[in-house]
Amino acid sequence: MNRNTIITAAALTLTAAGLLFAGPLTPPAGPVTSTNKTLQEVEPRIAINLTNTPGDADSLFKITQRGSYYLTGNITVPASVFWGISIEAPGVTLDLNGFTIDGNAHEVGGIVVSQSGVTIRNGTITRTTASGISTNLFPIGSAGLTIENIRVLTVFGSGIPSGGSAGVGTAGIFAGRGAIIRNCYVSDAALGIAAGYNSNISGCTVEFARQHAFHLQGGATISDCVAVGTGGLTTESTYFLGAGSTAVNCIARSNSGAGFATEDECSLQGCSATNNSGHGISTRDGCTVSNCTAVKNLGSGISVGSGCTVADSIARRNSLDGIVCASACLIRGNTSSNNGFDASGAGIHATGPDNRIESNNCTYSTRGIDVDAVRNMIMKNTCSLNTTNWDIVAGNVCLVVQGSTGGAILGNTGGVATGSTDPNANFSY
Amino acid sequence: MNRTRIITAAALALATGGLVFASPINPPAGPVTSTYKTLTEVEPRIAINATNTPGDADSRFKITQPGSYYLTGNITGVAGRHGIEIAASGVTLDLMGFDLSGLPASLDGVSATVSNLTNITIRNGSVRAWGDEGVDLGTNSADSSAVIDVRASGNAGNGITIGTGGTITGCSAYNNTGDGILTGFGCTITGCSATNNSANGIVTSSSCTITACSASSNTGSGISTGFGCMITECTASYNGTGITTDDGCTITGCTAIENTGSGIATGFGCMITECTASFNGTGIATASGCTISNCTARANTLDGIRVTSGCVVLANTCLFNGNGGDGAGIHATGGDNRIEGNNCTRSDRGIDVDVAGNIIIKNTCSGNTSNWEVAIGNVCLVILATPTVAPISGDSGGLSPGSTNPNANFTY
Repeated sequence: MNRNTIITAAALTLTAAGLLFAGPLTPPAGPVTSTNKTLQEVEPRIAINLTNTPGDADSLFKITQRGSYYLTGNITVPASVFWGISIEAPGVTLDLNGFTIDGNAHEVGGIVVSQSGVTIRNGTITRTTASGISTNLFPIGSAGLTIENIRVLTVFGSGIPSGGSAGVGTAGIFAGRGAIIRNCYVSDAALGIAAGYNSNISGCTVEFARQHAFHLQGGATISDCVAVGTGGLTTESTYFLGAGSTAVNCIARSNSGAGFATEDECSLQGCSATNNSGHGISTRDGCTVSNCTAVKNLGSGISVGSGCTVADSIARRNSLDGIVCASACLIRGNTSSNNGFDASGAGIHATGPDNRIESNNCTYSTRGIDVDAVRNMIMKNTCSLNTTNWDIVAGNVCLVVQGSTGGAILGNTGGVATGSTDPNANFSY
Repeated sequence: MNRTRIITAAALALATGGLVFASPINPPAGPVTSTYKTLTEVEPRIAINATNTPGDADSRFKITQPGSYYLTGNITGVAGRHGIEIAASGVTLDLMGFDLSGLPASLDGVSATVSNLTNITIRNGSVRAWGDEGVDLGTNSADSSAVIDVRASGNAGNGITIGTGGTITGCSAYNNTGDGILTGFGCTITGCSATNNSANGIVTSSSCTITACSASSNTGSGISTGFGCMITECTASYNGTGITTDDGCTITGCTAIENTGSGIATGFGCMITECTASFNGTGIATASGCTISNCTARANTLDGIRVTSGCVVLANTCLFNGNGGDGAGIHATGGDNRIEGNNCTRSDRGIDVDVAGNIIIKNTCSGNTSNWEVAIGNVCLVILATPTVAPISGDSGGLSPGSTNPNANFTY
């Protein structure tokens, strides 16, 4: 093989390879355009930085135009401003992108919102003195705020001054009316989560709030939330629910004040209050408490105002009463035991008139059923092994019978009648 | 060893080391390709823009093919056009947190404009001030669709509408001229709020589920449903009517306060359990064949609970009704009702039954202006209970209430 032959063979090989792997030579019709995405298309949102969102004397960054924004890194808020980010336009979504806004223990807050229809998600705010996230006109202003997957850790400021409105203090999250707050976590703040009228809070946890863990204005719905260790500075309630609110499947454990405290016309279902220093559950008038549990609270287990229903609940080992009601309540189907623990209390205690106390079982307390006022109806209840089973003033409708006991029963028949055929009789046993 | 041999040995040693540690010389098989992801692979979805989704005479942008789309910026409305028109099934549109802001003369913010589309998802953004609906997946019945985390406000029509089998989650609708949220048959609405809409807050067709929603300050009803719906853990306050339903609905654990009309008003065959209705016109009002149990009705202007016929009214607490008006704790206007185990206090009338054919058992009344007003022809024994004359302390004492009839009602 001479040298020319070798060169020719090599050229043919290269040509064949080119034909195998090369693309079409004919250009596509129409003008030349890019088939690639631009970086703007890949990340169309607006980065938070000094160019896009310059701040002012009040805030490190300021959002003044509607749109979708995101963090590109952690932020440390200098002491020279009041807020890390100020949102001053409606229709804004801010994704913290998993990053942290650090107040560095300065006299600053994390994010302030002064417009409606804003969403904030996915990040951490820590070491602020003002609120982690705040609306400027709690509880009325900044409607429709959505906050999700936010962690607020360590807010140094104080909460609601005594006698002041909720908008005065600082919180992990301060939201206005109609807020949706879900899957958030707040630790070590004066107020944990505070929300305006008709808000919806779900799946949130607040630990070590120094005042209220949850402070909700009227018409709110809160579900599947947990509050632990509230009240280092005060003895206020862990959950505060404004009038007409609903709490479902929420937990208050080991707090310095009451577990749950409500205004009028609230509903609590499936909630649990344990080891709180105040009452487990404390409501005002017209409330419904059902399928709840109140255990080992240093106050009463469940304390309700007038016109309330307490049904199918458990109150056990509270220092004062298991269940205490004012007037015109229906207390039905509850289990109350070991109350007055290390103190003095009744299984059920009615302080006013017009209550109907029916079909409850009260055991192992200082007093089983204790009625202070006249004109109550006490029927079909059972008491056993209380220091005093029944302590009822004159002027109530109540028949108490010592239940009869018999021998062992083995098989299909046996025993003796309970001691009364009166269908409304109450029994000691 | 001479110099040449030393150099040769060193060269061999280097060559051997190179053979041991060097990477393979042969390239991998196949054509030369990049090992990096392309930007299209990083963001495979289709951007909404004039090239990918050009609009037409009535839309700024139009989606005509199934796929996953996303916004790359805010959208501002134009008169006579929708913001984004969807004309294909199987579309997911991520608003990416951006804002669609309309004009008074514009059409819908997002609109499914072809009949009977399915499987459309809209998520994550705000839709404001459009000339008609904010998000409209309902007018043309875009079934099995979803709207997630959308804020709809200030629209001239409804805030959010959706077709049959849809899901609306985590949305807020406020200040809309129409309804806040409007759905078709068999929808699920969870964790939403509807406030200050000029029509109703949340309106559904039949067989829908509404959970953990709040409706406040709407001109019409806070929540209004068709038949066979389930409403759980919701609040309705300061509306025209709180919660209104058609037949066969279940309402559990809801609160209705300060509504001008009824707090809760239902059609036939509904179940209302563990609800609170206070400071409304009527607290709870039902048509025939309903069950109302374990509820609290307080301080309503008219009746606390009002039923027509064939209902069970069981274990409720009613007080202070007729507050500023005239009303009973429980008021039955028809026959065939069973009224049992309720405690009615401090109202104009405790239990008020207008016609014959009801059974009234085991109830208690106290402190009403008139405790019982029961028409002739009903099954009802009312006993003025005997109060105890001495305290009870210990294990026994007191007096029988005055009847051993297990079905007696008592005044105390």
